[in-house]
Amino acid sequence: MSLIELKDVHKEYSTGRGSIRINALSSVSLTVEEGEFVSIMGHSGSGKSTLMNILGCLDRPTSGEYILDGYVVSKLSSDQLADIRNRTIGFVFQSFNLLQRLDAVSNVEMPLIYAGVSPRERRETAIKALEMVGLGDRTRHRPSELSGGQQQRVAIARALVSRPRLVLADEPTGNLDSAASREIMEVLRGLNSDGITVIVVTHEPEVAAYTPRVLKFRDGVCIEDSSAGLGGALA
Amino acid sequence: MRPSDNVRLAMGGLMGSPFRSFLTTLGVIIGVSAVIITVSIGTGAKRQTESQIQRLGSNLITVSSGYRSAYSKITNRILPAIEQCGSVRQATPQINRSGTASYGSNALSTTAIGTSANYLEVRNLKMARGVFLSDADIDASTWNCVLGADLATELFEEEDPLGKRVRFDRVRFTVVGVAASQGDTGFSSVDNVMFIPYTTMQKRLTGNKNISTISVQAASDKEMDTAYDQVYATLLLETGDERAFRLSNQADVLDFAASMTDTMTLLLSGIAAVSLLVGGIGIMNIMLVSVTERIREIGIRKAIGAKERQILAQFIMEAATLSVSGGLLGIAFGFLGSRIITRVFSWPTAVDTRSVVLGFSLSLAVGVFFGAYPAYKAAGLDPIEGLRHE
Repeated sequence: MSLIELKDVHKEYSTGRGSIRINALSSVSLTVEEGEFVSIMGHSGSGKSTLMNILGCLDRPTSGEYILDGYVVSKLSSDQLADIRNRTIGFVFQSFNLLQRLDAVSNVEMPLIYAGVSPRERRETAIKALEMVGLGDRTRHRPSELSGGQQQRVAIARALVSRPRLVLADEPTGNLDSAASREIMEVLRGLNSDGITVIVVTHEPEVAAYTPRVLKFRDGVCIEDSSAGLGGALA
Repeated sequence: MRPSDNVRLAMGGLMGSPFRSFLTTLGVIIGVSAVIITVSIGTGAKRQTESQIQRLGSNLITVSSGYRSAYSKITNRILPAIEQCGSVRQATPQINRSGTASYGSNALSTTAIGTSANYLEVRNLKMARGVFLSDADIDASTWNCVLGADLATELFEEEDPLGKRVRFDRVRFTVVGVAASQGDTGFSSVDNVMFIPYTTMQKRLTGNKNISTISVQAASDKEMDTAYDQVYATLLLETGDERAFRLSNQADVLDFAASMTDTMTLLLSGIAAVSLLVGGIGIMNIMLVSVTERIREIGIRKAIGAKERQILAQFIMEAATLSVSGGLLGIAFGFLGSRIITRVFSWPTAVDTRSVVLGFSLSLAVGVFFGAYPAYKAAGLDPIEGLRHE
């Protein structure tokens, strides 16, 4: 069974009081197997962020089906979606999205709070996650005391702290210089080699070069799939 | 999600801007301390009135005439009839007459009270010096008198009044005792008086057998109602006319005083409630601002798996924490404030435990009520919009 299966997914937005309709995604069908490392490429407005939101269960398709790990997402309640985001998916954002007033370890343990993990256990787990991304010595630092690359690594630690099966990274290197970008991509590659499915949205070819499979989007349509029909990057 | 995490989250949110949090709670602090202080003033006043009335003598029923003195049916013959009632311990007559008391060159306008020996006991009077009028004084209609504390000091200053002769209008009395000060009852000074035998009063001053008031002491607290009924029946029997007398119960006076302070407390509590309302609106205002400021945080929390009700709980908890800490501070200021009022204005105050409980629960209710709408707004936020927000 595939981890992700999109069947003929459409997403429409209406703006200007409903008078103008924008087709953000039209008839997208794709599958991603467990353990793949995929990048989604496209210029802004190509629909890649919309796809990311749908894959991350933050948004629902207008029509079509999205099956994640065997669950038909459109049939789930908002509480069930929250549970999926909490346990199955980890997010990494372009602007890191850390809470500025919390230190690194508190940011990382946040998903565990909503999972109901005990304070001591989640602190230990969070510190382990920070060690995994090489920030074992920065646990008490606030985001403002860390470099961009370090902040993004904290965000990655937060994404993986609840042992997700899927990590979605939306332009994870967009705000970083090339050295930090390479660092982050190496971390993501490391996660993937541990068996976590990683999907990276980017417009940089250097980033896409890290992933065995590249999906190219334009005007809401998938125009190229570098491994169409193959599936399984590790195979 | 654990309840303890809820509290921690709320505290974290508030401690982000401690000064703003404090300013927000100010309305609740003022509201709650106003509740505590006003209720404490009301309670203090009520207790003072109660103790003053109690000091006049306990278990008292007062009988007075329903007609003008020329037609009064409350005369000497009523007295033994009342004292024969089963639930009555004793009764003492009282005939008041105002006049001028003088000694040497000192003169003072005062009230002479013609009464009997058991007045001392019925009205709970204490003697400072000498003795009170005796039964023998009453029987023989002697010229002995007892001075109230104020009258004694006004007339005699440093001199010892015992055995001296005092003039009341045109008659002379010999001072046999001085009563202890009873303090101000709030109605009239009971210390500027002189007590003389009621028999002397009737024979030499009023010239008739009328009695202005009879103070009746019931046998016990429990028998007040029975005694009241018995006295009523006796009076009806003796006078044959229910308009000839008036009966009043001490409990009625107490009730009246209590209802007055209750009205005052209610009024002041209304003001306190308004300031609590204003405080609540302040909390709602700041919480709405806070939700807008933290749209991104809410988006992040939702993206990593916070459910709507968890966001709802977080913001309601913040509002409740704000107003409850305001409530606790308000209780502290309330205690302090009523202390200061007693010290500065020398008003008696008594902090009522119920008002503390009321203040606390009101502040909690205000927080939850006024925090609900901002929290509801936060919970319903679209996570994508939140994440996109700069």
